Amino acid sequence: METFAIAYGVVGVAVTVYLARLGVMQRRVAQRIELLEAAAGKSQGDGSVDRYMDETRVSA
Amino acid sequence: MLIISAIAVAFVAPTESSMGDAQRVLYIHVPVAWIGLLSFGVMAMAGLLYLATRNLYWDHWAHAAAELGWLACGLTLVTGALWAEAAWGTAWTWDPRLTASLVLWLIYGGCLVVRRSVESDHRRARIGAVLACIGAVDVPLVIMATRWFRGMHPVAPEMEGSMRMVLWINVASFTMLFAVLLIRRKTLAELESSVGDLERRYRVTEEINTAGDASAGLRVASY
Repeated sequence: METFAIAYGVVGVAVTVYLARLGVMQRRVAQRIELLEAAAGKSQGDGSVDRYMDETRVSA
Repeated sequence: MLIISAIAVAFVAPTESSMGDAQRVLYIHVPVAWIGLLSFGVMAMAGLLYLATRNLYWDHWAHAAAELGWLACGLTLVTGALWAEAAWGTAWTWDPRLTASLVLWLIYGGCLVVRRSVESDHRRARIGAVLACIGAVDVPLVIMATRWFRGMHPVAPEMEGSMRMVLWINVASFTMLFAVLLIRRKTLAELESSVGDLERRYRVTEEINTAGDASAGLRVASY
């Protein structure tokens, strides 16, 4: 039973770590999108930002 | 589904007479090995489709499959080593199937390292696709190693009906888990690529704006 339990444990931990990594990557992408939004908002100001953001949303 | 699989392994599958409970590793070793091979199939197919269409959509599938394949292949080696330690008294031998599986894991690792080191999207996709197609040669070797060469790894042992049923349940549930993770990773790869594109385009726009402001006070209204 011990070997079988260790094998299941290893697989369980690996899948959990992978899922956690995906979560971290997802959060990082969300931060990059926020930074892009903030940067676009700061540098424009003539209505072009909205067009830029619309494009961002469609693309992302 | 995974919970049902675990319950089936613990309570439905009979205990094997010679190896005892250690044999239950089979119900996790075979599904992860199957996912490792399936991932390579997906990666090679996506690579071929990228080479044919030059559409990065296929490269995102290949990238997702490479990551999951590396993980599954690594888990195959670890669970196999645990089982081998209990059954053969040694965690590793240079058995043909074990060696071919190790080579497959190294190929996956190589693909991931190359992918990380190339910056251009299309160049990365092209190199990844070529590596996947070349590496796919190892897949039949892994599958047929026990038949083509003499080694310690069993070919296809006879199993009781209930054992086979539990194994199939596990293969099905791990395949579903793989599909979910693959789709999630592929979506994330697409999102990363889109954001990267926008960052590059935004940087270019910023530079044009800065240059415009400095020279004639022009504002770029596009984007």
